[in-house]
Amino acid sequence: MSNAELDNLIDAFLAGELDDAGRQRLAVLLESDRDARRAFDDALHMESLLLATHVDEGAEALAVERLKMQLKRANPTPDQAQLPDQSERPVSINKPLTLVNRSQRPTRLPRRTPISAWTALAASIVILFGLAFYFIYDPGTGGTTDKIAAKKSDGKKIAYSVASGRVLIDGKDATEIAEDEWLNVPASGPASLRAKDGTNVTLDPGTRALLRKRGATLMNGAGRFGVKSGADAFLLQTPLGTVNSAIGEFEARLESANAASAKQPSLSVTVASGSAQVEYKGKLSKLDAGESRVFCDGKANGNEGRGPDPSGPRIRPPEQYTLDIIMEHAKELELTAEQQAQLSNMEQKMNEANAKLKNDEKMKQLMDKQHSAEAAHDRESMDSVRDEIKMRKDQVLGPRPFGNPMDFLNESQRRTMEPFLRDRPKSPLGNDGEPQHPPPPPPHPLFPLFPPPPPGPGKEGKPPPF
Amino acid sequence: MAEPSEHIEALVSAHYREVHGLLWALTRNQATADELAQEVFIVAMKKGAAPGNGMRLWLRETARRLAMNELRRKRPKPLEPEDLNALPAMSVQAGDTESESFDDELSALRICMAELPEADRTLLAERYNSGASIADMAKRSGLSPEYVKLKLFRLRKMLGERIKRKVATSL
Repeated sequence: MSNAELDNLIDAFLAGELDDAGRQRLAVLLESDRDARRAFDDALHMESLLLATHVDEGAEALAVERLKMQLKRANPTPDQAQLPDQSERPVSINKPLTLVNRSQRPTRLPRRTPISAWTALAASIVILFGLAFYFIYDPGTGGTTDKIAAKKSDGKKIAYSVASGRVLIDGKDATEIAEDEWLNVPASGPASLRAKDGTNVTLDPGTRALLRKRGATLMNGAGRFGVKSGADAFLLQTPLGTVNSAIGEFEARLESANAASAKQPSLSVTVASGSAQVEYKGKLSKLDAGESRVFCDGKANGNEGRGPDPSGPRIRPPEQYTLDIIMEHAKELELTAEQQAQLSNMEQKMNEANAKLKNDEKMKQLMDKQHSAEAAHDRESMDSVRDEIKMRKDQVLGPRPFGNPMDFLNESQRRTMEPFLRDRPKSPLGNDGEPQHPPPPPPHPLFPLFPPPPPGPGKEGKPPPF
Repeated sequence: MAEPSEHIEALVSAHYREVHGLLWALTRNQATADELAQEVFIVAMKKGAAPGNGMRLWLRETARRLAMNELRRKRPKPLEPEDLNALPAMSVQAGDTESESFDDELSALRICMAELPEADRTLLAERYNSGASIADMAKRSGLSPEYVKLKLFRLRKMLGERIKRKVATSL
């Protein structure tokens, strides 16, 4: 799971725009990842604060007073109440509340058992399991995941089918691609894939990508995306920027840095029909049919021709992510001219080092090995390759060859950077120089902890456990 | 000794805003939040709740359960007595994390929002005061819906961080 994916899902939930697939995915994340639960909880809390801040205070005070009056009426003192014993009746907002007459049968007081913070934490996790259950349970149909029409033999939901060419998943040929499955297109030729909504994706040889219902992640290489209209825009994520299009056809091409020609990593986007919006370093550019632009090193150059992507993984040290974020927020950080010069110098060194690493044959082999281990979710191999990559990197560049870009910032600027750094994408080499593991494969949405689906709407029955 | 009705009034005064805000965030519907907030305090009253440690957590949990119940069923559903019994105990040992109150955070948020540029404040007001949809906001501002979403996301993150810092320094 990436932070960006979780953020997008939470954001869509808060905006009331989460579709079925999104709900399922969020449910899986909430039940499998404690950090995801915490992030969801934080986002919910922030949302409630913002809503409370913008509420009409007069109306709120009135609502509070009205509620107090209603509760007072519903909770009469013993001499006022002559009510039958209804303590076992369910409480409902649809019926006026009638409580037991205290003189006849005292309302049971809560147990005063002290509970620890751990119990509180456990309770909140239980609540979130409840949340996850909501996301999985489809209130519209009263069913669970039976809405999913097509699944692969391993239970994953099919997002795309291969129309032509070859696609490899975990090193094996695949004809059906599930959402969030990493795929590689072999060097033998391009591959075309088709989604259920009619969206077509053609990926160049050597491309590594991940597809979703209305989106994709392109790690390297290039792809052409013929987007059919849908409820959501198609969102393509790349390490350099994002492209979104509601309808139309566009091509996105990633090019790696090349020291020999002093070429910077770039993302080129060409729109054949419809339109697309590209976000690059926080800036949005709209491209219409027939327009082409290359996004590179803070500049966007129009209508430049680009050759095919030299395949191969791009190795970005963690310091480079930090540096990118600093440069992206240069204005907010109020960087001085001297700081900017120091950071530019560091960036230049990083680009040279990237090229050196990229051209290193041993490193190429290791990165391939890492991708294979990732694809196979082979944690043991990933650990071993991670150590090898780190050692090789140190051999080629020496340990910490650039220093830390944060060292060039003052205390106030560092504080400003904190939230940006927390949201940053993960470097393949980790945030502290350690390569990172991809998350383990998510559990099946019907997590064993969930109870069987409750009776559908309209049927009376005990509500499912929270 | 305080009467139960006084207890519940005190609870409403102290926690209504937070409970209502949470329900609104979860259900995305103010009228539903109004109704469910009422039910939360009805449950609290039925359980004989009194102000004290742990009440904030308990009320939030009850609100979430009711919201989930509502979202699952798309209509209010009575809470069965066993569901009431299944709620956690109301007392939490001293030392649980209730050091900052919702109102403290709300005050901090107001200060942080006052420091925002006018354009950002307007964006937040459109979203949270007028309840405008992302699509409407994008249309009015001439920005893309994706950008409006991104902007709101960043504002929320930034405000969240600033609130934490402010509350931490004021403790």
